[in-house]
Amino acid sequence: MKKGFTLLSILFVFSISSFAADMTKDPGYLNGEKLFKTNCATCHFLDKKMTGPALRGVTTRHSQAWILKWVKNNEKLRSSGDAEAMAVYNENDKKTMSTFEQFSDADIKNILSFIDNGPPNPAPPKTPEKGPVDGKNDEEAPGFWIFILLGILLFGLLNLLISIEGKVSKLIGKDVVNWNKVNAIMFPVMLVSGTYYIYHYFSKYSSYTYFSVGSGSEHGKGLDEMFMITLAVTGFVFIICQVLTFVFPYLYRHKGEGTKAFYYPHNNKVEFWWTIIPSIVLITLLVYGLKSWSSITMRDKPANAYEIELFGRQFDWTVRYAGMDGKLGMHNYHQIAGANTTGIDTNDIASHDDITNVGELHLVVNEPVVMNLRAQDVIHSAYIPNLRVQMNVVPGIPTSQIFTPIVTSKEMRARLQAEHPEDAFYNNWDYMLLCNKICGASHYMMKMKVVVESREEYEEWIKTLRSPYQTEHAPATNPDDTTINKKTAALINNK
Amino acid sequence: MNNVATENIPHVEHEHHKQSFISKYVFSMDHKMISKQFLITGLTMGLIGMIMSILFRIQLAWPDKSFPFLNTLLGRWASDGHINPDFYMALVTMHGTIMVFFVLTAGLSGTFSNLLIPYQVGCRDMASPFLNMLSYWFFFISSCVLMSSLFVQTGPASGGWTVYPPLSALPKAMPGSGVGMTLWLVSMIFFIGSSLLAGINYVVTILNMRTHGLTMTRLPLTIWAFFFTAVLGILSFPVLLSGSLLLVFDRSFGTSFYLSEIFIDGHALSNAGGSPILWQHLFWFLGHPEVYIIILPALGITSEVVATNSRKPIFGYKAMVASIMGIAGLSFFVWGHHMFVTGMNPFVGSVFMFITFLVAIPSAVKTFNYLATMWRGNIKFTPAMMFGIGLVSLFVTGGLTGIFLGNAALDIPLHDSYFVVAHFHIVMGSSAIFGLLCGIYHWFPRMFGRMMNAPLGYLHFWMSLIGVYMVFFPMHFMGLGGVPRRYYAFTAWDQFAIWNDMNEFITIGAIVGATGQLIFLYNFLSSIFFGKKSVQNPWGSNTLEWTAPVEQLHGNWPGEVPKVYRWPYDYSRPDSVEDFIPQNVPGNIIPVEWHGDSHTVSSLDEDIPAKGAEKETTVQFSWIKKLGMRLGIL
Repeated sequence: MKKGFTLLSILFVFSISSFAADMTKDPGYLNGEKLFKTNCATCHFLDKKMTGPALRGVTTRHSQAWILKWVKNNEKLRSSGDAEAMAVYNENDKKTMSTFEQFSDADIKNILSFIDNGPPNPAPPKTPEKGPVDGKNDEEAPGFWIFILLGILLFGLLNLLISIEGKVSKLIGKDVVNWNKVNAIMFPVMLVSGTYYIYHYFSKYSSYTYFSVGSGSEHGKGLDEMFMITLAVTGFVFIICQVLTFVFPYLYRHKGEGTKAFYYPHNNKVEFWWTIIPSIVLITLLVYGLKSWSSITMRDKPANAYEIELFGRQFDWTVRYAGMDGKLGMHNYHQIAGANTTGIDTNDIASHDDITNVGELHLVVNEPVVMNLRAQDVIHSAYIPNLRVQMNVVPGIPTSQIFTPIVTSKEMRARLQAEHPEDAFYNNWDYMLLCNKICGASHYMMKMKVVVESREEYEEWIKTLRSPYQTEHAPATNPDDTTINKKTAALINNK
Repeated sequence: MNNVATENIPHVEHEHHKQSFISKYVFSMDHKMISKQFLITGLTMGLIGMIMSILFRIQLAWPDKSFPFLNTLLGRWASDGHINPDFYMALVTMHGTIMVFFVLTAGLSGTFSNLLIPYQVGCRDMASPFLNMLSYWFFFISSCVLMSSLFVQTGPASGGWTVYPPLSALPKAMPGSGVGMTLWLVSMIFFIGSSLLAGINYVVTILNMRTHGLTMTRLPLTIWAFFFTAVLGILSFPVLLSGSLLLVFDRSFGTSFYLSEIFIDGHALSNAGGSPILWQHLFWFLGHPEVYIIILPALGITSEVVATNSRKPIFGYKAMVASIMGIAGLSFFVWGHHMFVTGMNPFVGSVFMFITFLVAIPSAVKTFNYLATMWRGNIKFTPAMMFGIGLVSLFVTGGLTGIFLGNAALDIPLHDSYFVVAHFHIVMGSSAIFGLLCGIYHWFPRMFGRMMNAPLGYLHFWMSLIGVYMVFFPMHFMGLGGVPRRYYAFTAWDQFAIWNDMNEFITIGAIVGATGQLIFLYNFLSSIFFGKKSVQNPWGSNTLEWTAPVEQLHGNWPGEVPKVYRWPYDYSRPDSVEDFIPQNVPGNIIPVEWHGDSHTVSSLDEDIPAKGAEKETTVQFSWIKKLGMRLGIL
């Protein structure tokens, strides 16, 4: 009987877990996971409040019909005077959520399926067994106060010692501790330990800087070289000055009564040379830097360059490719709505075949690219450290940067794996585009994967993308819109 | 009778009108009391700013650990023991604002300009004691307004201390851009008022109220530094004032100075034609001189302290004055180096880069002069002197990384990374704080008539120095790893996971440094009440403030104000028994004892120090040879 019960319970558990396993293989769930990660994860965890509330169990808190309305356009829902919407808004410190009119009902239901069945998020701490010993966990809160108390006690003791030292010195009429000497010796001691400290950092972390594997872009090579030269020059000055700063105090310490300093108010010759030599060195570096700066920023658009547009908003990036006509259409921020998330100007026929993508930016190796930048709301900054690329993205003022990636993602990954064979992370390494200008609470989550690949791979990938214009004006769903569709067809045929 | 203090007539103690508690301690017009008020307010703000930095460092080091005490301390801003992202941004912003403006501008310049200008130029008070009082109270109001923003529903300003619009202009962009941002702007407008009132007063006092015999070439370097700081402030703060007003218009009255083509929260805004970059130009037109407003007084204080405690004249007095002047002049034409990657015209970038490199030259000269001042000195390690030496070390470290960042091309990958954070925290943050602490230790006896505890001061210094290098040195590597600043956590970035250890190390460093500051605070407060009584001139210094009696008199000197007969750096003159000759000592009453050295020193009544010094260059060996010999002997 007992055996049977165990068997039954095992079966029961198994069935539940197999049910859960099945759930995570469901295509709707998978689609939901993908959508969640690219669109929602910047502001929401499943199990913890972030910028927005924790989402698990949202289906029990609100009706599905309400959720669909809220996700698509919460602004509209609130202005319609929906009490439930106002309550959610107020509970979350009146922070406004982005609108997602490009989502279909099915998309949102997929996301909800992920929300209900997804793994714990944020993931629980990786080393839970370490927790209780740490003294900084919830249960051991007093640890913190004990630490402070101990600190105060230690300080009290120290203070006592110092005052005893002072009193004894006064009593015997001579200093117990010669502080002048102690401090004088401390300076060179600090110099030696500081040297070791700096050496330690160079040896441990140099290989993790982006110089260790070289630049992924053409102009970056020159920058790296210039960085190294500047490092050599400044390093030399650094060592000389720091050694003197820490050795002079020891050498020229006050050594008792009767010693006198050397009266030496100035020396024009020396002063002349130490003004002139740094000036020459600086001007050399300056000329070098100016040349490099103008070659990066003041170049004409190369003939074989292709244009892309990167569109930043709180808190994601969208890339726009020109499509078949090779021309990016105009843009108009008034047209941002529905699937047209980047405000493509549909009156410009060149925009009809433009294709957009969230989450990944693909670039062709060895081909110069003109990266045009546009922002929807606040200033962002497009920063790809491994390509030595950075340019601010400013609302109202289009900016751009021209560069040539020369190392594919695969090759760069191989280099990094060779550099750090022990670190499994580099097996999945990719170039990353970061936002590098403070843009709001989820600034730290605003990222995009960058893939540098061959022309063929790029062509293959770009086929999988959709044009937002054609999504909205697809002939099947929009039979009235035939004129525009004809225009587009004509355009495509002309190509 | 009110303005009697400003005139250089004999001022007799018993003529004093009785002062009530309010007019003596609160609405005081006495420069010494105002300087104490600035110092106490500045230190309070500094303590708050420091605690904020520890809070966000805890978040950066242990993003996945829960700290219940944060919840106790911050309430809903850290509801589950984690600081939430909105409040993290607010902390970063408030830390920057408080440290840059309230501690290092008002706290540093306000304290020491007020204390030292009347004392060192030999006058009884500021040119306008009333404006001086007003300047403090504007600053006080400004501090209160800024602090009050911690208590509003949507939290304090959180768009970074540079408050770039549109982020700071649109309450919909982040909660901190609501009432918190309005309070930030109001506070800043009061602050600028305070700065301008103070600055005008300093300039007028220095130019017009120097005592008899105190020519400009005999001014201590502190006064030169305060003078140019005040000029910088007067010329650059009004630009921030107008910029702030335009931002107020954009936020509250629907104008479009900084806003254009914005779509936010489901709506396209109607603003058109504005430029967010305009704010950056206006802000940095103040912002860059502001850096020098912060560092120049610190350098001036260090010059004075290093010379006094090395018992040697400051090396190259004229070069020092010229470099202060050079730095101050150039500082107005370099603001664009904060904006290399905003997409501004690259040619303009080249010009800014050129001028930025020029600033490095006077800075280098200053460093070499400090080193030469210590060379063959007779160094006495007072806590002040140690902070002075620390400042030189930090100024070198942080200054050199400026050569990377000033290079527009290198700035492309380095901009807004942790490399920048390391650079400016070392060169203008920590080193200016070291200047402030150096000044406090040195002039504490002058302010409070008591001495600070020296051994605790040493401990404070070593903890601070170690703390600063622990915190900021590793950040260079993070920056070169592409780690961006102002990120709440790196949990979503696998490629930054390798910096986790370093982030923990930095936070521990910050806690070490902060503990050092708490020791200082204890030392400071206990010494005010229980410190050893000071003598009149405890450091054997030459400048005029030490010729006044220990107890602080209304009008500074009981009899006539002292007359000046020499420059302030007559330390260890070979023809004098004492190793210092205060500025008010006439030449003919110095007991001359000739050591038979090869120096030829002209009459001690000599006006200009350079003259006496020029004749002295008959030193037989070159400087380098002497250094070699010296090192060889030891």
